[in-house]
Amino acid sequence: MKKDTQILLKQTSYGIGELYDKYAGMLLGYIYDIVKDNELAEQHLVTFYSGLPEDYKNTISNGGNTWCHLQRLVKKQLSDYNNDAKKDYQPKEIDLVTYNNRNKFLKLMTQEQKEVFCGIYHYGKTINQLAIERNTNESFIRKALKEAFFIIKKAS
Amino acid sequence: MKIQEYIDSGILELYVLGSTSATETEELLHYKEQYPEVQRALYELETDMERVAQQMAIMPPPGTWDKIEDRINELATIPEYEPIKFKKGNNANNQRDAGRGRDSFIDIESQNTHIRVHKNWKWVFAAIFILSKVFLACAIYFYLENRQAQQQIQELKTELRTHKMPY
Repeated sequence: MKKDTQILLKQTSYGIGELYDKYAGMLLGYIYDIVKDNELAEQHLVTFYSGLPEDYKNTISNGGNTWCHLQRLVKKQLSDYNNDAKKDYQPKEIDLVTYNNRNKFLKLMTQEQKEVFCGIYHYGKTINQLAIERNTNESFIRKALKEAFFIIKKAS
Repeated sequence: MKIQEYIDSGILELYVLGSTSATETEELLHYKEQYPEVQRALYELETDMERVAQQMAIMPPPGTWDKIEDRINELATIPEYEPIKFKKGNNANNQRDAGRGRDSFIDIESQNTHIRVHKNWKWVFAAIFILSKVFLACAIYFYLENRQAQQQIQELKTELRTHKMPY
């Protein structure tokens, strides 16, 4: 006889299928921007969706934006990778050409805005870390981030 | 603190990017419940981020979903074993033993119907098996010999009778 959790897993897999159809491409793009390797990005995507049944209930009933919730979960999964990447991460060496080819919003940002936005979004850096790295204060970083969001809003 | 100042502080942007601490997140969700302005601003930012993600999306290779589905199905087929909870004083044996005043005894009689023997016994069993075959062959051989001898005796008796008849 099947246990309740096993039945729940079967039912959940249909719901996860829907989440896959809607968000897999976005998540793969996000993961790729962090790991910079297609196969590795796909592996992370498979691992992420395979472990999603554990958090499925929260994902569909969190009351907020599903994409943002999924993105936070992926960020958590990649935190170890991120920690390693942070050490090697050099803001001036960001492959902006690659980003610009895929993202029209980034094209419109200044170098500084891009680096702040990507530093937080992809590499999970804090405002404080970015301020220290750039030898500036936190309010300056917050301002650059707000400007980046303003550009996204204006362009969309 | 005025709520507009809170919105302008950039904390919503950090939350959307997943870069707020647990305390900041808790505070933000509290404000979101209380102030529609925060809820609206957050909704707009989340929608903007979804647009960014859509722009940067990469189509997963075919077969990726199959891999995920296989893994989920594997999880669904793994049987779950739940540990048996120990209930003090609720065990039938304990109650029985308590009645006898022998709390420290443990029932060690095995429920298994199989027995285990030493490996050396396999040579003994093999020898017995071979010997039984030899005895069986001998029995068949002597049986056939005996039957043949009986037939010969019978024939000789018949022959003797036919020779006696003229007298």
